[in-house]
Amino acid sequence: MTEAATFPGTRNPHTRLRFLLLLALLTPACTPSPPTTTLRVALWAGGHELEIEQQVADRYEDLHPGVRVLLESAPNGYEERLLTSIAAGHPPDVYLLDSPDVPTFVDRGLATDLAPYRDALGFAADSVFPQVLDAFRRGPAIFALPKDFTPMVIYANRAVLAGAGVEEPAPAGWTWDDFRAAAGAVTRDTDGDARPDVFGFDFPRNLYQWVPFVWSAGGDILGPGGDIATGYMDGPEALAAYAFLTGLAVDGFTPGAQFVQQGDPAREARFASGGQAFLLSGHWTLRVFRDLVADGTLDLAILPIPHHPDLDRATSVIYASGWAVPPNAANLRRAIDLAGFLASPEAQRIRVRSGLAIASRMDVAAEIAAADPTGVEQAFIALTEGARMTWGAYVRDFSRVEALAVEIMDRRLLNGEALAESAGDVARRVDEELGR
Amino acid sequence: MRGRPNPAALRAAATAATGIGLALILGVTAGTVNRVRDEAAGDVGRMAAALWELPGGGEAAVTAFLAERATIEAVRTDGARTGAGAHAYRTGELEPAAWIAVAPGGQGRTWPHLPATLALSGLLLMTAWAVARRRSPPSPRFPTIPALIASLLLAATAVAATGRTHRLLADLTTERATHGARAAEVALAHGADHGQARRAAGLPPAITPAPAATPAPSGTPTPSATPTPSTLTTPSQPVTPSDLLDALPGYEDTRSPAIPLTAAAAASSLATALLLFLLPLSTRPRTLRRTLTAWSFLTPAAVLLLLFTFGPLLFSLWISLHEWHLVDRVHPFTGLDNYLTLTLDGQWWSAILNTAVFTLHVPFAMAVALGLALLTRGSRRAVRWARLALFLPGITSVVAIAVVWKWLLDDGYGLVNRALEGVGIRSVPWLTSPDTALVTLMAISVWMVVGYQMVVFQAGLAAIPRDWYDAARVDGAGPLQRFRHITLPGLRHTLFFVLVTSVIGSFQVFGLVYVMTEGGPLGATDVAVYHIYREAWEFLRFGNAAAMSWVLFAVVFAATWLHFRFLERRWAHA
Repeated sequence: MTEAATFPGTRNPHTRLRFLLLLALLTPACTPSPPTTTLRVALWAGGHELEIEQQVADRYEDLHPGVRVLLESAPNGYEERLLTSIAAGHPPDVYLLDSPDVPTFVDRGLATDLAPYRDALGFAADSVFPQVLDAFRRGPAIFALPKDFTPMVIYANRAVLAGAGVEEPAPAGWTWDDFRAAAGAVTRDTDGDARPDVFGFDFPRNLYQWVPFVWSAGGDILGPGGDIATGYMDGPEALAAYAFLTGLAVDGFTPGAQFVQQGDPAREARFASGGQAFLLSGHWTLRVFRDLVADGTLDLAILPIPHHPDLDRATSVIYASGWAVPPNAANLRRAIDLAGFLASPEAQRIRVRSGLAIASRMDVAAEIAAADPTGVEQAFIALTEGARMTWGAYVRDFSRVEALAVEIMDRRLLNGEALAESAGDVARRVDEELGR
Repeated sequence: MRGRPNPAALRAAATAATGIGLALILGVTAGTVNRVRDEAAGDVGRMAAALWELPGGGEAAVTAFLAERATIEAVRTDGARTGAGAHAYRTGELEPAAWIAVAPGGQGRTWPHLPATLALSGLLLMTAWAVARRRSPPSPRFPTIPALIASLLLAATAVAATGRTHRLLADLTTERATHGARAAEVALAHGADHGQARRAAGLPPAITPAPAATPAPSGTPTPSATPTPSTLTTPSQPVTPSDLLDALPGYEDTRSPAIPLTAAAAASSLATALLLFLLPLSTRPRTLRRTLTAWSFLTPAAVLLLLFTFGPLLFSLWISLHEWHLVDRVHPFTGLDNYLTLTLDGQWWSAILNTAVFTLHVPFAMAVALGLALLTRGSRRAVRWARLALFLPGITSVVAIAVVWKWLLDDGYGLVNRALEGVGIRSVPWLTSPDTALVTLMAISVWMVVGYQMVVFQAGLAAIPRDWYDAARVDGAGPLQRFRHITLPGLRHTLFFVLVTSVIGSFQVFGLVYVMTEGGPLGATDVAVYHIYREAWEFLRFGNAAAMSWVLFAVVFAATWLHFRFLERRWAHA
């Protein structure tokens, strides 16, 4: 090997080969790549739901080359994380806004008014369930594009009812007396240990669960302006609802109450396995039961909330969520476009596979209901009629009201205190909170 | 004299540090004013854009709004640079600078940002250089007076700059309010409703209660009222400047330079004082070298301590003096209000009482741990396994422990109650009764901590000389006497350490409560740290939560001090 055969400046015959290899490796790295914009989406999805949301995000990326959608999910501590990111000046481009959080974010200017972009986004307000959209509106402004929602309903286990010889309540409506009679009839000891193994219901301790019972007695927890509790939360209709619900617990038609926010962790399993006849929940529970229904293990009926005997219908509560855009989003225009897509019919059709909630668009919800052979989806939509949005969508920092309200029935069950007394005290303290 | 530091250079550096501090203060002030001017321009721009978008608005409305200040052509001229007009402002295409022509604050209010900073810095550097050339020997008392003067100078400048900036920003706020009222007036004149007029003025969406409703009377229930926008109405009064001043946070509140100015002044004072402190040492090079070497090792830890311990501590103190929400732009100063509110907050004191009761498990846990330490001495295999088993809960995740115990103690299907029923004992509402929940948590806590405490006690026991026990045996002392007169006195320092750290730890209990009881039932397990957590993250009252944290700190500090005051001395001299 002569010196001329080596790479200039070296005596190593392999150097040229190495150099060329390096060049070959570096060439792709030097190829200009299309500019990429990353849009961050904050949400609280987990597990299967997150996979579905990723499919929606992938679809948006397909439609918008050069845009990357990064899902930042926090199933636990979502609000803490979102507020912290906003306070740190690094907000997501789009975030999921829960209806009870609307005042917290909107009143503080943390959501962009999306109404001016309705036409550009193809968002038709009249295509959305009106009470769902109202949660995110303030006058003409729209601060989030509705994603989905659910009313609270009563799930009934038909096998448990049949086993106790109880006739299935009519889907049109039923009274507290009907409910109590059915719950009492199914509650029984099946193994002879002198303790009931099958229960009628489980005690709805939290306000988000029991508020439709107050409404279904003709009462309310706050005055029409949402600024006073005295006279409402301790009003006669509310007291009647508390008495009805605590009566179920005192008479043993429910298992022992769990005095924590998450409630009884075994309630869904107990219901599905035939240990409980009625379950108060939203559409989110349906996905837990879907497989059991499909293989015939569980025979479900979806029923309205029972109402006061003096009224002819119940009023349920609705919880919804929507896509919002912070005003200081790094890519405001693209973020608004993404929010529009996430709320679009296409995204809602993909999302329906998660079975978490009802699509906010009436046409998509109707499509899904028509394709559901079990009739469950149709039952949910029917129960949406006449249902109300949670107070949390209108009253700022409603979590304080919720935290105080649980005391009303807790004090009755734990200390034997009169409901009128505990409700009056709590209502007074709620008024103080609302006045702060 | 190779390596000997030059006193004049140190003096010059100290003077330069003061100069840089002054320049920094001026720079922060000027930067703040200029930024807020841009923001104010943007706010006026949004008002114009809202008027532009009104159905009856458009150019006529915007021209009426601009009135004497500027013409829409002027705005368009600037906006034309990006090919967009007022309509495009909303989407961020129009530079805020395009609105400066009509912005509140007007022209002539700009701080001489860059030139002034450069001029002052140059002047001070020249002074430093001149001082350095004098080469006078440092006086032994040199550091104190100049450091004091430099600090006072920096503090006075920071205070003056803050005051001046505050006044300027307040002026901008007032002018924005005037503009907002004008925008609302123009909007109404161009056919807008009151909601649109409020929006044009930059007021946030607002709802007001419907006319006072009579509380529902007793008797027959009536259908419920649905809280739709028909009952949650928009105010129909005209918008006044006062409305805007009340509803919108002032620039002086949202962009106050007080914190960065204070930080700049404090950092500069510190740097100056440090350099001046080193000055007298410059005549003793070995001492200086040793001091610098020591500080070079200490600095990383000291910086971390300052940034992540003292910094957050001071910040929480600052928060506790304000009404503070994480994302509110305004944090009004409330002085000691948060602390005064706490004094009347029964739930807070109930949480403190619960915490104090919870702490009572500490002496019990210590007694158990000491007993186990005595029983598990030695190196036999069974003893080693026993030690391992006892120590495991101490190194297991609190959350995992809490979840497992929660299932074990469940009223209905928990293993513990099932076992009790199996032997004829009635089931116990471990976590669902106000009478038992806190005691249950205390028992679990004992189980968690005894392993760690046992290991610490065994280390203490190993330090007690065997000769003492042998001598006591020879003297006829029994096991109890040996324990009382040798073991306990020999462990006094260990006992004191375990007691103090365990009390502090029990005041900070959180995980068990968070997972198992959420402070319930009926607040029976609502301990101080959990209460603070809810106040901050559930109710978003950070000012209150910070005040609670400082009160808790005071309580823990007092408890620790009492331990030192009464126990440490007694045990040390036992």
